[in-house]
Amino acid sequence: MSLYTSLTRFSLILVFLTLTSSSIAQLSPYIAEVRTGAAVEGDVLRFEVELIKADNVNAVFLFYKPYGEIQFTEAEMDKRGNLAEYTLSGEDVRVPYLEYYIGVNLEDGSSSYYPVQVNVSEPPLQIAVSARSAKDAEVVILAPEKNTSVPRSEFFISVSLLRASDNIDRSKTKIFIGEQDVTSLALFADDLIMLSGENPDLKMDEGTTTIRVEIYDNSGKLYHSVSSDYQLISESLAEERRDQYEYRGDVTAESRSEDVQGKSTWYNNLRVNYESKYKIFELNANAYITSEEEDTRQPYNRYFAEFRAGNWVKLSAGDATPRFPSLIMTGKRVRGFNGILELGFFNLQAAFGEINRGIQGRIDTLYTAANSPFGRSDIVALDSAKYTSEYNAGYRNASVTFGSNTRSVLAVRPSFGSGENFQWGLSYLHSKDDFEDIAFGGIPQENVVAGTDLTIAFDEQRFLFNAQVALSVKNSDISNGELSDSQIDTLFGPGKSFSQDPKTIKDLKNLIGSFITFNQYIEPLNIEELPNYAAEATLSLNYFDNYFRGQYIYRGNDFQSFGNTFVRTDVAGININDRLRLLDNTLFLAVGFESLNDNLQKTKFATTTFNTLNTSVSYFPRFDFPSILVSYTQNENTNDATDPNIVINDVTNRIGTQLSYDFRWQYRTQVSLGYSISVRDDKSISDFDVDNSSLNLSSNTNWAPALVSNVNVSYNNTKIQTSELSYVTLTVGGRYYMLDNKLLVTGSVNPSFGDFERTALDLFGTYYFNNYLYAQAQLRYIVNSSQNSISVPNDFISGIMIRYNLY
Amino acid sequence: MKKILTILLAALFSITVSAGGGENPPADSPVAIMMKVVKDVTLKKAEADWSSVKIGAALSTNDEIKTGSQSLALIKFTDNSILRVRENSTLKIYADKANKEISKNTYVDKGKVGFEVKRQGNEEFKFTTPTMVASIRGTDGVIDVDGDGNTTFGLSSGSANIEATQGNKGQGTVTSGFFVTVGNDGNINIQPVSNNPNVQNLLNNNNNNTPQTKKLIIKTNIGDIIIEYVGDY
Repeated sequence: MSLYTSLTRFSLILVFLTLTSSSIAQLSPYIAEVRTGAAVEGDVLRFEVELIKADNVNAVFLFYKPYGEIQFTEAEMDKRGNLAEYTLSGEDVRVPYLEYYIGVNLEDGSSSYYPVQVNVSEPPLQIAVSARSAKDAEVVILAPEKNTSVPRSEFFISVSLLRASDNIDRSKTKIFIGEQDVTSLALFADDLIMLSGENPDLKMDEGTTTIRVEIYDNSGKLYHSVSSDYQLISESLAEERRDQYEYRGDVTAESRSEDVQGKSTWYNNLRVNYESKYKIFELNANAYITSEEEDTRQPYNRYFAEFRAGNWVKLSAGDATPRFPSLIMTGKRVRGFNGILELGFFNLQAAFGEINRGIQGRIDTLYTAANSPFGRSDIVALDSAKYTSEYNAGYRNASVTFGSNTRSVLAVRPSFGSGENFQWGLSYLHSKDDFEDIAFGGIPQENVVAGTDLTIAFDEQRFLFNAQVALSVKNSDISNGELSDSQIDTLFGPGKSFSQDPKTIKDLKNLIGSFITFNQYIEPLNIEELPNYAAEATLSLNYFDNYFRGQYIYRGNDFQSFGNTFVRTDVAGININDRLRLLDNTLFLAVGFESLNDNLQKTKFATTTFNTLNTSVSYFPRFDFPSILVSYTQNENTNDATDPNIVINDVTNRIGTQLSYDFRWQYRTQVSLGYSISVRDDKSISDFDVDNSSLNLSSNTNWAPALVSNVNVSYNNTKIQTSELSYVTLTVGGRYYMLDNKLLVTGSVNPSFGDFERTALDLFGTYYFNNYLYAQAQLRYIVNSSQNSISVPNDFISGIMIRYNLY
Repeated sequence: MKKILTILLAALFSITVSAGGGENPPADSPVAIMMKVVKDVTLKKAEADWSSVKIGAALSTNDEIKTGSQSLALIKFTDNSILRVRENSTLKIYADKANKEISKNTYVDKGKVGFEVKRQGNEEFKFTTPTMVASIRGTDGVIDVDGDGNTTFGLSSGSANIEATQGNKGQGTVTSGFFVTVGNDGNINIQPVSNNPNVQNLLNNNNNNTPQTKKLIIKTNIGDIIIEYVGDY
């Protein structure tokens, strides 16, 4: 029996078990690991990507698609050393799942993905999003308040069971501080449970602690459990914090050496965070200084300072990603100034700064016509006039590092209304490249986008209508500036190249020229076919535990905003989703249909229709049973071409299953299983059929408070036409606290077998000197196997990090 | 005094009716807790004298709270709604529990009170002052009652229906970013918050659960005497 067959059978048996993966390891030449937190509806979700060969990585992008959205949204991750981070807004974390993949832009201009073939054959990754429970509202921990610091003298516990169900036996309620059951010390008074901090039998340690409340039904069965973290602090620390001026901060220094594929690189990074508060005013700042910063790259250093006054005013300077309506600007780093004034009835948001640094391109290697490599995007033909000596020496091509123009942006959005029930906004964006003499750089361009957006909501936003419309104008070459009046006189008029009255053209220039450079490269506005327009409208109805969302989008072929270059254009259509919540938010049934088509301005030979059907069933029982997510997706792409060479006709069916189970069987264990199978049937002449299946099984066991182990097995198989690629990765690791919890040692072994062979060994040690200072050392050794009979050197990465917290 | 008694009776009647005739909790049934006490905060239980109150104390319907100069009390209801009672304020709590809901009507005799409402279903959150009744639909705001009963009421979010109880008995609706003043003439005057720096300042400070306090430490031969008080805000 083949490995594939065995694993397929095994996965089918386990398909009714469980999975939630917070750490996924797949084979990628640039990504060692992607880590996410637990995905809970409405909560922010943090992504961490650990990079290999970070020196070769120019930028890292997270492509994510919340449930029900039409397209993947691209967000540039914050790359700091070998780590890239991004925190997804809670609005984008929706039940039942979130799809994502990672894109890496490399120094040589090429791209790499994770999963490696997601752009060709592999499906994106999927994270199950669990729902909040309606039962959460039945138990309210009034004190201590979540995530607050409480001095010992002010500590007390108060729990409200006001909303608890009639099936609850209040007297059976249990309260835990950490793992200590303190129920016997509590006083039960009607709906309130109170426990005084002055109780001499109450033992508490300073530091962050979790308080947990369990409520039981009349039969004695656990009904629900809620928990909340707080920090118990000393009187002296509380005294310090009573000062009117509060602050906290941390400083982290890191030094890391990478010896990857025979190339050694040394990184030195320094990160500083600072937060302070005075009455309603807040001042926050952070900086990241790295040895990777070079004038020949986009900025790696990061600087940020922010001033806030209540919820009314927010001003920041440095590197930020301001969020305007999605058609205007989002997900783009701006180095400059941002400001928000929020008065409710009137609000104003503005951003101004640089989104691209001007970089001179350079020649890396010269090639003659005979030895010039093919198929590389960084190979350009030499300009004989500019590189005369090289040209005369016989060189015709060169591999280059591309340059780029400095690109600045200004975005402004006044709006009226708080958005709770109504908001109407007007947006304007102007972005322009500086004209510089950049070798191997692009042609300087300019872009103006104007838009308006509207939100109408009532019944506590159960009825919600959003719409936005934007119009863009681009000038694709401003290197020669505006047309002069004399040029207009030469070109326009009776008997000249263009018959229009030159005065009319000059008037037009005076009008349009105040917004964008007026010359022959400006895109004409086409009122009939609307190629420069983009619009979308969304209606959401959230009634009777049923959430309905319908959306229409239109994005013209030439629509472009430099503030969001990731918008999918030349597409129009509908997207409809319906999600039903059952059994107290534990069972979800979801169905969605999307139908889009391109070729809106008939600029292609054929019009393609993209139909997608999504269905899923998810069950999050919270106790005593595995969480289950089963999803089915069908993508069908067809076009109306008659020429068989350009016919598109393919269907991809994908079934995904994720199961997870957190149970205690002598030891607390979390087991998770993910399985997905994707089959693409290409009926066109290219017959590009792709089958992919992947399986991931992981288990974490808490043997003792100080010892946790984890085992992970993942299998991936991809068949593209006649070729097949399969591999298995095994991870065995654990973490152990020693020396009175001052030293944490984490280690793992990750061998991969099959068509990819590699073994990674990881060892981390963290030593906590005190509450303020800790140090971490990292060692990673990767044993590479030969590729195509060519031996590949092993990789070795080592680093040390020291962090100091200021309170 | 007669006017105040009339208003108190009206407040009691309105809450009983609005809660659908739900049973009033027993006098000792807690409806809120004292989350924070700074300097001089006293409590008066029914048929008892004023006495100082400690953090964590349970509060019941009909309890009265009084704060002294540079003092503050933070009260949290069992539905997680919050009252921030500023210095030199006096208020009385009325609450009615029925069917897992709690309707509240707080009588503010004088002083400044910030609030955050966690409303559910048919629950009501009302403020009564000598000159008006406000039914809160929103989430947070402030109320300021001077010695003559003149009331200023501002909202950061949501809305509230205002009914003057004196004179012309004007009515109106206040929405987020606006405030209303109600005097003994019964006229209501609604304006943007930006027109009144005092209201703006109160709203800005309202969401601060850890108010800036100062401590006066007097060292004696038998130990330190520490007096905590609220600084300027």
